[in-house]
Formats: sequence, C-alpha cells, structure tokens
Amino acid sequence: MDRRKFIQTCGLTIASMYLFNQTTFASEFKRNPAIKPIVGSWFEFMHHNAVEGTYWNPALKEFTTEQWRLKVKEISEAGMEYLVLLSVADSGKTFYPSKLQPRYDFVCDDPLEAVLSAADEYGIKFFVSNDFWGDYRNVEKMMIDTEIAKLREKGMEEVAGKYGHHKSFYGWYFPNETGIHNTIDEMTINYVNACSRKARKLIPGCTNLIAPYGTKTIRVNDQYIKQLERLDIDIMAYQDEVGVNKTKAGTAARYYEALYKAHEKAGRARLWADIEVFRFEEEVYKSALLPARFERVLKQMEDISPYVENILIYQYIGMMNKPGSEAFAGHESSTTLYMDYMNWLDVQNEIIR
Amino acid sequence: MKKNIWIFFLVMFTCTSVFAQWKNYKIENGQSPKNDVRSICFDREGKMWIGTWYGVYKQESDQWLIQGVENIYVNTVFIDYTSTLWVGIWGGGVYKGKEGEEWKQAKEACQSVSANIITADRKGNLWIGTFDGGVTHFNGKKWISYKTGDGALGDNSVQTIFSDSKNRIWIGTNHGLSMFDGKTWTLFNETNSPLPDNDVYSLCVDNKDNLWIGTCNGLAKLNGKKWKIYKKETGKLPTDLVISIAVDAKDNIWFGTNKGVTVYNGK
Repeated sequence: MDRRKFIQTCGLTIASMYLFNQTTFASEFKRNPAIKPIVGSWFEFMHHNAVEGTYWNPALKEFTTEQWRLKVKEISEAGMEYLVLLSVADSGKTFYPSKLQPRYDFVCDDPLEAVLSAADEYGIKFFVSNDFWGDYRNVEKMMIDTEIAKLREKGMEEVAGKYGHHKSFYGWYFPNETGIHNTIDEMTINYVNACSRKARKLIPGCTNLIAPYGTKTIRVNDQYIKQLERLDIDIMAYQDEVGVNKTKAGTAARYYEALYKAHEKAGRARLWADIEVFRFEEEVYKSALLPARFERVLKQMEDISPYVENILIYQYIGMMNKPGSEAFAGHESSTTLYMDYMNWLDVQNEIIR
Repeated sequence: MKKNIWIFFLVMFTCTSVFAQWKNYKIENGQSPKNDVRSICFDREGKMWIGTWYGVYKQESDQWLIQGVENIYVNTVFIDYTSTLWVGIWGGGVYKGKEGEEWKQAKEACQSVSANIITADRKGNLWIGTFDGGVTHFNGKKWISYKTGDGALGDNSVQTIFSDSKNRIWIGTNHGLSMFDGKTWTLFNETNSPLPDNDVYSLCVDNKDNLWIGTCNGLAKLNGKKWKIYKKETGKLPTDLVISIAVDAKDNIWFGTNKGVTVYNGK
C-alpha cells in the first residue's frame, strides 16, 4: 500500500469510527464502564407503609398470577438478576396460603408461588424474606422477642417446605432493619446469626442478605471489623439513604470506601449497596414515595460503584414501570425512570436500538 | 532559543512556588472520621474551628484541640456575635457553649433530632435548619419555628440557609428553594421557576447580589427575576452536583463538588 492509500484508509477508518460513536452514543448519556449497573431490586406484594405505597399498593392487590409473572419478566429484561422479597407476612396476614396466619385477600391466591415460578423461568435469584410475622415498626421486639422468633422459625419452615424446591430460591433476607450507630450491636448479631442458622438448616447452601441503615454513622475501626467477623451473613447491602434525605446524592462514597476496607479485612460478608431510587412526595417518612430523577440515581450509582460488588435498588416495584406494561404499578413518572435507566443501560452495553 | 525556554520554565516554576499555597491538614493520620470535615468557621481572633464527623476542633498554632463532646457526628458549627459556639449534630440536635464551658443542649433551637445547618442573618440572629423539623429562628427575643405546614418551606428537610444583603433568608430544601423577606414566604421550584432541580444543596450570595444556587442537578444564578443555569454540558463545571458554594474577598465564587473545586472569577 502506497503512502497516499495508507493515509486515505486511515482517514476513512477514523471517520467511520467517529460516525459509529456518534450513532452509538447519540443518547444524552456517555458510556462509563466504571459505573456498575443495577443488578437487582427489593420486591414486595404490598408496601408495608400505606402512605408511602399510595401509588402502587392498590394495583398490586389486583395483580393476577400472569401479571406477577410479567412483572418478574419485565425486571429480568431490565438486566436485573436478584430480587429481595421484603416480607412474606405483614400485620397478621400472609402473602401466601399459610397455616400460621390468614392470607391477604388478593386477586392472586399465591403471589409467592407466582413470582418464584416466574423467577425460575427468567433466571432470577430470589432472597426470600423470613418476616414480618410481628409488627415491623417495633424493630427491637422483632429481634429479641422469643415468641416472635418461634413464629418466624415456623414461618421459615413453612416457606422452605412449600417453596424451597424453586431453583430461584437463592437465599433468605432478614428484613428487620439493622440500624448501625457506631458499630453492629449484640442484639443484631444474635438475631442475624440465629436467622442464618435456621436458614441453612432449611435450605443448605443458601445465600443470606441483610440491608443495614445508618451507613453514615458507622465507625469503621477495629471494633467494627471484629463485629463483622462475628456476623454470620453472606451479603450486606448497606442503604445509601439518599432518598430519605439523610445523605446528599454523590456524597456517600466515603462511607462505602471505608466499608470496603473493613469488609476486605473481615473477609466474611460481601459488600453490596442498596441505593434508594425514590423521593418523598412531600415530607420525609410521612408522604408517598415517588421515583427519583435518573440524573440523581446515576450520581448515586457512580459515587459508590468503585467500592461495592453489586448495586441493588429500593426499589423497582412502584418506582419503575415499562411503558405500556400490563403489570403497571406506580406513579406515571415511574416510566420516565424506567426509560432513562434503560437508555443509559443501552449506552453502557453499546446497544443500538 | 534554548535560553528562552529555560527562562520560561524558571518563571513558571517561580510563579508556581509563589502562588501555590495549598496546605492539607489532618487531625489524625489515615482514614478517620476526625478528618471528615463538615463545617468550618472562624472566631473573633481569626482562629479556625471545624466540625468533623467525630467532634469539634479548634486550631491552635499547629495543633487541633478537641472541644466539648467527643465521638459525635457534627454537621455544622457556628460562632455567633457573642462568641457562643453552636454545634449542630446528626442524631443529637443542637448544643451551645462558650469556649471552656460545658456545652448545653438548646432544645428550643432544634425541632428535630438532627441539625443540618446553623447560620445567622445580617442582624446576627440565628437560623437553624434541621433534617426533618423545618427551620428555627431566634428573632432576638424568642425562638420561632417555621415548617411546611405554615406555607413557608418546600419541605421540612433543610439542607442549607443563606442571608442576602437585604436580609432576606434563602432556604434550600429537598422540595425547592424558599425565600423569607421577614413578612412573606416565596417558594421556587422546578415547576414555577427555572431551578434545575428541587434538591437544593448549597447557597451563596456574591458581591453583585447574585444568589448562587447549587443543586443535585445543576447550578443556578438568580438576580432579581433573572435566572441563569449552568450545567456540566456547558463545560463550566466538572459535575452538576454542587455541594457547597463560597465567595472570597476578591469576589471569586468557589464551588465545591464531589469531583473537586471549581472557581469562577465572577466576570
């Protein structure tokens, strides 16, 4: 090849690459491999706080088995592979046919069976909740009361017996929220370790998860590392607390960086994140949850990506909906968050639509 | 030619040496909440006080001396015109005390378990913004509480407060920007103004009476009724997330972001 042809070829190649990039990245987002995608979400049959769940609780009650299947399919198509079920019971009623408490009178007889079957089909891994058999608001009582603990264990036995055969039954989620102030307290260690013991007896090889809050008030030091070593849990998905206005978006990295080092040293629980993709319609904790703007969510993701193994969100249900979904549950703005995230994901995955 | 290049580098080196006067301070070596500085203020003697995620420190020569209670989560520190130190604590409310005295909790000053910001207006009267209890103001005689229900605030989660030259109070919340002129409240949000985002994280007024508004999703400048929006795409900022803003004596405006500091000369 002579010099002129060589230069022409190089020029054409560069121009082609430029045009390809222009086409690929026509979206407002730029590809950034350093940002981890959302690989999972919390999941629920009913939001435990009625005011917060204003925009999706009524729809979930009416969901058919097919709609639950569609919802799981939709989540899977959004690239998510983990779902964390918040609760199998709430306020004295269950979300599956149980001998322990009466069932919620929802259109779908057995939502738990519906979603686990769908998860089998779509390759989703479920962390199945082992509570709320008592009043979730009284966290301390939920953790230490022996009668509640007995009921919880019976519940776990029942759930494992009925649904443990599903290949999507990946592990358990212990939903009594562990607030960490300074360090992990003894009450939490005892509660989590007891739950883990029972969980492994029932489903050997299961992977178990907790999601502590109070992330910014953790004192990451030798004492914390010792407590981590004593805590029998596989995954800790710390809440970033941006949605509840406790932390400004883009400023949580310092906490996760410190936690990354602590978890490395302790060598036990894996470090995941639970980022909040919601905002309050009015007052914090006293009004309905609405989807956050994706620009904010992206900042949350970018901020902590270097330090966590996986990013989960709170939560897909209610906050994200595929436009035109037959299993729609949530405020109309949930389609915006869905579309913005999917557009970003396409750019990340270099997919041209 | 070679000689000129050497002179050029010599001049550059000299300039860099003369003007580059950044110095990093650490309370403790390594990663520590003591180095996690949330707030800075100066007393009448020009001594620096800092609020960290472990406690309050005062700079004395090359030493940092812990003040008051240790192992607390300090969000904000402020020294008022009577030299009283006010400390806003995450999960602890507001404490006050003069140097050398034991701190006392100022329950009436904080309608929440957590205080995010303590500052004063142009008359020296205190304004305290909380996590979920709105704003509390000392009018020289008594404490007055303002909340969303009063039609005053975007919401009760107050992120920042600033007083302008007309002694109007600007309050950044998670539901927009509120302004109080002493009689009436005005709310600016994404719906009724060009505010780029309802999460207002930082505020400052420059010497030209421009109000600079740092949000979760862009920077805004407001003067009278005239808005100007600055976004990352315009190449002015490294990110749309503006966490803090300050103006120096030469009217340079400094923007603190999670991707570094940006300075604008105001021209």
